[in-house]
Amino acid sequence: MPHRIEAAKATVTSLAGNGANIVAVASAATGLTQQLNQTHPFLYLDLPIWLFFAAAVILSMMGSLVSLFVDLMATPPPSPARLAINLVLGFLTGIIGAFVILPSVTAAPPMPLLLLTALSMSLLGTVIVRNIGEVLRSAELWQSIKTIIKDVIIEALEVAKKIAIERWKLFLALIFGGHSK
Amino acid sequence: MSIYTLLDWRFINLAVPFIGLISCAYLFFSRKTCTKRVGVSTAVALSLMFWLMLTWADWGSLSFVASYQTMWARVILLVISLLIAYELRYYTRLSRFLRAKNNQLQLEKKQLHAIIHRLETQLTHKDESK
Repeated sequence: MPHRIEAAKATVTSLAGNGANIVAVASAATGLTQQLNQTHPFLYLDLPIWLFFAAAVILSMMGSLVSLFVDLMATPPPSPARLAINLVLGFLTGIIGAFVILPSVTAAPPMPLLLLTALSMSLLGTVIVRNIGEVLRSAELWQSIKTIIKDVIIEALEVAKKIAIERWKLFLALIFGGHSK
Repeated sequence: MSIYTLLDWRFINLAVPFIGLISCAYLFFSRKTCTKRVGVSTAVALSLMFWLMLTWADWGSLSFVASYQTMWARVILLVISLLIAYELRYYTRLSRFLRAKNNQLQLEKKQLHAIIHRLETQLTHKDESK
């Protein structure tokens, strides 16, 4: 019998602990709702903070939709699947810019800055994502980038070689007293 | 707000990034500037990003201190980007004008070919009739 009593005790304590956990989680959630309801002044209004977060999400969507009117996206119109991928990635760039990059690079971002970041980052993110895709997809563009880099390196090496030879001549002239030509 | 407040260097320092953001947005959405090429659109998007980052420095940073020199640097950056925007606009207009002229010349070339063909056929008919 005593072992059964022990088991019952253990069950009861574990149940109680579980209940305490649930209560703790619930209190944390109420803490979160309290935090989300704290107000920030904006345009002489004291608005709750969740409103700003929702506005940032909506502005990210707007930024990626507005990018449909940019020349790059408008002419020629891409296929619907590629367009959808571009818009979703632009939206995600806006969200990441507003909620990940901005808090990590600035110490105290005010709420209007968050909204501006969400709008601009989603717009420019759509354009940049599309351009990166374009470069990765088109063999010709990739080849031209490689050629440019190669040409620049070769040119720099040639300039360096020329300068080195001239300096070496000057050095020799200095040492042996010849004329530098 | 008096004119002296508007011309204060701190105010100009704060205002210039927003003018830059507006100019970049104008470049993107204007029909008179073509930003279709990959390099141009990437450059405009990245300049949008740097104006945005300057606003981050102004309003979000605790360590950044604006000075008279940063104001002048920003104004000069704005002037440079406006000059580039003007050039882009000019070349867009030029390329549209040249394309229109080219189309016109192609049309005239077709018409001339048609006239020459007609004349040649008339001449051959005359030869045959002789």
